[in-house]
Amino acid sequence: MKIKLYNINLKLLIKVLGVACLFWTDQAFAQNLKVAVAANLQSVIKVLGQDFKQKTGITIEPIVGSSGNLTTQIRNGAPYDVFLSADMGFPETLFKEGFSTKKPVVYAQGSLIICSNQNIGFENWERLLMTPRVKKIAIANPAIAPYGKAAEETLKDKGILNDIKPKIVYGESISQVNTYITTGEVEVGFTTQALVKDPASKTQLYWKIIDPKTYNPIEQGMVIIKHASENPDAEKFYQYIASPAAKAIFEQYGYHE
Amino acid sequence: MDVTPIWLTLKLAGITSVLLLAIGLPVAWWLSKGRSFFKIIIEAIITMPLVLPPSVLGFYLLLAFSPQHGIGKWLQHNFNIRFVFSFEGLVLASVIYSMPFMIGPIKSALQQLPLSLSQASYSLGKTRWQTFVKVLIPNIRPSLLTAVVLTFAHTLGEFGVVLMIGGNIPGVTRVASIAVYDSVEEMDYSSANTYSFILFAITFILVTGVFIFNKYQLKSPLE
Amino acid sequence: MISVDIEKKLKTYQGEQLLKINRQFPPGSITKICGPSGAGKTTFLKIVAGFIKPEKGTITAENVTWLDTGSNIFLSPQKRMAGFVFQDYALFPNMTLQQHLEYATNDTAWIKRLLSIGKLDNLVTHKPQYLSGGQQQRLAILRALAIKPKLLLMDEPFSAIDQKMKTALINNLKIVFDELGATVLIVSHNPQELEGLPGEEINIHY
Repeated sequence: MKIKLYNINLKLLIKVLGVACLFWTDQAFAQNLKVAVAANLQSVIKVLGQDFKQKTGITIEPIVGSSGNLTTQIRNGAPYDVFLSADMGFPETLFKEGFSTKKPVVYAQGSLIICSNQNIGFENWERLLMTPRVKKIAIANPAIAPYGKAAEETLKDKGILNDIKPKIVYGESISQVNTYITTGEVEVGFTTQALVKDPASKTQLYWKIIDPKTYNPIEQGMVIIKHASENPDAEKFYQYIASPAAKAIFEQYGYHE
Repeated sequence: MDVTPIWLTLKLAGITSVLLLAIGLPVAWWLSKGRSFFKIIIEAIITMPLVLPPSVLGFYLLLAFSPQHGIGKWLQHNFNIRFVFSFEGLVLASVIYSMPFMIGPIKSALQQLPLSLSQASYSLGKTRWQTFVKVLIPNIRPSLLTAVVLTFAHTLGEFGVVLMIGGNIPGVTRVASIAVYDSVEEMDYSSANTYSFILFAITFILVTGVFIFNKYQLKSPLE
Repeated sequence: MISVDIEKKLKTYQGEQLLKINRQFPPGSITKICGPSGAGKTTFLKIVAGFIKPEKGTITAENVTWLDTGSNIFLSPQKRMAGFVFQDYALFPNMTLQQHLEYATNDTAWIKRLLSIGKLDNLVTHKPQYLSGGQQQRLAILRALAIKPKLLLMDEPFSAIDQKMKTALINNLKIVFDELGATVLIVSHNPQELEGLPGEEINIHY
């Protein structure tokens, strides 16, 4: 008799849980705007999201990844509404392939910095990288992360790319590069200025801006994904990112126009 | 298409399997005898990589071997060794990650051998080591082979840990599983296809081979 | 002279039973151990061999202490070198008949002699799975004898051997036991089959 009671309770429990799950997920999907953002925007998108919600009442759900990774996902049907890339190339590909109805526009320009969690002295960083003091250098994978491409360009410009290649370690995205920098796995890394401008960051970091003349400008572009082209929220967010309020926030985090 | 990732992967799987055979045999033997509380804990720890997400293992390794503190600092300072971003680091991670695949089958096989086999050997004056080498190991050959092949195949497929601590360095830590991932991200689908197919083929042949071998080996009198 | 004085708790169908043996076995003697199934005959042999430890007891062999639970003395089976014939034969599946004997000893003349006693000369390249039950059992006996033991422990050693072969075998074994001066303990639940062997019979029962 005891066993019988057990059985009934179990079945009921499962049914209740099953229905509860449906309700749970249902809530999440209905209202939020899904915004895919390149990894370098990891910290600034939170602030933008809060500001946007204050102004419009719309909640955004950021999905962070490397620009290349996100683009592939979108091409394979990922349900994102807006895409903020770290370059223009990936959004342009999406536009050409018909995944967005409007051409991509630049919403900000990124700043490349050289960074470390040790006070290593970046005054003459080109020389520093060649010394044995620096054993590992992290950059994002240039094939899929625009900041990695920029890092490669600046290294080439300084003529040291081939010499320091053995020391280079490739992060899957700027996020991974940041991890390597903040945990000290690498002595030095090339990343976005947004990392050091983030007030929420707890690690003490030392850094220097890389001369923008040594790399192609990191023009970050955004598009609305086709299936969201009728979604008024998506359009609102699109307009918001171009607005002065958003631009001010971007500047705080080291981006510029 | 660059085939270095395939060689790297095979090299990693091969070295890991050999190392694990050397480590795994004595440990499995020790675990197969008696069940003290201590042994149970050790066995649980060894089995963890079976259920632990690889990213967790990668994360802990990242912290443990950071050159700024603890073991990582000591290694860097005294031996100029850095486990993160190195092939040696991948070997270490693979040994931990694939250990249950080597130790599990061997321990089970040893436990299934009748106790009287060892006792008979002891009664002839043979030491535990002699018994282990001349009597026990030869009689668990099918399980040994299974263990080695499974370990090899499992290491071939390692991704999560390598992603976290490998650094994706071409010719050093850019193994085939990472190469597939990167090719997909770079939208180079032809390379992705080739790498994937090669990996699939190797693993399929290995695993099928083990099953066939075991089927024919079932005529062993101990089964 | 082997002196055994042991106590061991046995878990049987009837609950817990106490196995208590206190006896001396003179050198060169043959003792038949009989009794019902599960009474502890095999356990007794294994205690003497050193595979099982009793709760309490002492065992001495020719003035060497093999076991003394009071003083925490325990000599490993390897050092006792008591030849053991297992009830399940315990043959090594990976070794041929010849290899079994070579594993035990280097004495090739002795091996040849044992093979002829067991009538297994022309089966030396066979592995256990290719031997009949009776042949396997004979091999088990030969293997135990290969080390020229001073003490031989046999657990149901003739159960699979036919009557005619048994009589011939036992006659040959008697000679070997004499030569080695071995003390022999044989367990059997069928005392009749051991009639060809001289010696006392003891009974282990509940």
